[in-house]
Amino acid sequence: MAKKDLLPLGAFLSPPFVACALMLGGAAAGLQPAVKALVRHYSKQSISLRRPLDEFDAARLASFRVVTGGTAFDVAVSDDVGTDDALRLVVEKKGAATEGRRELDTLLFVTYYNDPRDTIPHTPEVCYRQDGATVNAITPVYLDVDGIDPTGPKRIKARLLDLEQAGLREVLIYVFCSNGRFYDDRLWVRMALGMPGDGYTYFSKIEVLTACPPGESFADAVQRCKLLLREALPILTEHFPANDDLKRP
Amino acid sequence: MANAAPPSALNGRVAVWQLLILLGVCLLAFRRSGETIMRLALNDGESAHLLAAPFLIGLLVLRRRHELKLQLSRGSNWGVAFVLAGLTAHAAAQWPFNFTGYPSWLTMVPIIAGIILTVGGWRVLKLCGPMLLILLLAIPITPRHYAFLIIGPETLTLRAVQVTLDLLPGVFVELAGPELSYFGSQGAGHIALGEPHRGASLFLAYLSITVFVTFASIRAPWQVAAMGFAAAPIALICNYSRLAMWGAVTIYGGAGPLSPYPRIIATTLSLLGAWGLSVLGVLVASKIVKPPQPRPGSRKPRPAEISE
Repeated sequence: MAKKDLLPLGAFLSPPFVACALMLGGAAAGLQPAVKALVRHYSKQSISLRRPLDEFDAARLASFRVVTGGTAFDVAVSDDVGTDDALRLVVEKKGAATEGRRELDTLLFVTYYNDPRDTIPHTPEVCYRQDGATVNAITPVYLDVDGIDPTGPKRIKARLLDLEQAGLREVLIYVFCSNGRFYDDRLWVRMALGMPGDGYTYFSKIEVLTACPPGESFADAVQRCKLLLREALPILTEHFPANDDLKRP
Repeated sequence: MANAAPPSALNGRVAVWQLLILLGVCLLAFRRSGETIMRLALNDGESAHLLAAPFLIGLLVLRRRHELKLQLSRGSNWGVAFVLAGLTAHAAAQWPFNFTGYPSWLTMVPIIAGIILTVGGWRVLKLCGPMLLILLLAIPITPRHYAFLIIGPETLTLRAVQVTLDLLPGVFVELAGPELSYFGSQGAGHIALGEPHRGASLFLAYLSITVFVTFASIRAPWQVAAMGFAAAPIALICNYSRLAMWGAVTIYGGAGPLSPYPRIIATTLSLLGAWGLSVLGVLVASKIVKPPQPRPGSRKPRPAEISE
């Protein structure tokens, strides 16, 4: 090979090239083992509920009463939810306009998970859709909830789904609670689960679902769901682990 | 930071070797992610455009080789920052966060951008933008992410297809969740049965085609912007046409819901349609948006004519 064809070695010793090669080489050799070691060493721990969800005191819901039979909602918890800590409760709103009208029943569905590496596979917009519902719209909704924050009402952002299932319009509002904080997005819950700080971690998905039969106002159905969430969240937070219990031992 | 040394054949060869070395080490660093992505691409027909991505990128490099040679500098130190940021994000995605799939794969894009910047400089990186965009579109979105992202456009497309097919004589079509069902004089059945996202992943394939066609020649920024606006409608129209064709062939072809032929026919035609619409879009953009006229005495700009 002629001398002019040879590449100058010096060109491969330029600082940026060498720095990139070293960083990428280091990543190729050591990134995965390092990440595995960090995961092993610094993994958060699971934490159980303070009180089982079965002991949810529905009598404390000021505006609702429990419906025990003959309702449109199935109260049995499916194995698909991936946890034994779950609650499905059907309630009706007190008042002459709604009492006894089974089509206006509202479902409270709560699941609790405490695997720190959970990927949060279940979100209503995806799961209900795969179950045959058409998702017409997904919008944010805000709730001012008393009894969670000692300083006053806490503003919580939740997610509202406008669904259509078997020709019936439905309203679903859901929110996640992870380590005492509320999120409307699965991504943020995943971030919260991984966020350094606490030694223990959990998250819960709280959803309320009600139908909007023909002739009924959609806004009323939304209000019913919001009211139930506002009344249920303070009770549920008493079941979830206390923030002080989440700290590293 | 870039060194604006005049390009030479030797510089070009050095840059190519540096690029190959760094990309090789990068591939080694991402070998596990690469294996998973390839497995997905080979097993999931809706991510199969990933297999075409290296060819599309290679063709774009070939079409832009003269510009790449002209714009080559000794590189920028900022490339190191890009690579470092990408590697940090890749590590953080896995710990403390547990994003081992799509989000951690995405970090490959800034790392490769950093490599290009280190080797060739900012102007070369700008020229390689379309290639990076094709790479970005080729990274398969994991089903859970995709199912969430796609709800809006997919529901819109399915509704439009339902309305269209419902107009066909003697057929009644209804939409329930992600399912399109039909019944009538032709019988009853489901359309697009068993397809995980009803082919919605092909949105990314259509977008890849539009990106490729747009950047197959060096175009004026206005034309690129016009195609940027047209890309999403083209993808929506193609996916709508695909499902509508699939439905029509299923209903009238008597192929049955599990037959692969309606899907193959509709997919092939819609991909060709995406190509045709993209070329048409580029032609229209070049007619509507004229390139700026050269000032007297300035160098004649490179013509932005269509060569497809």
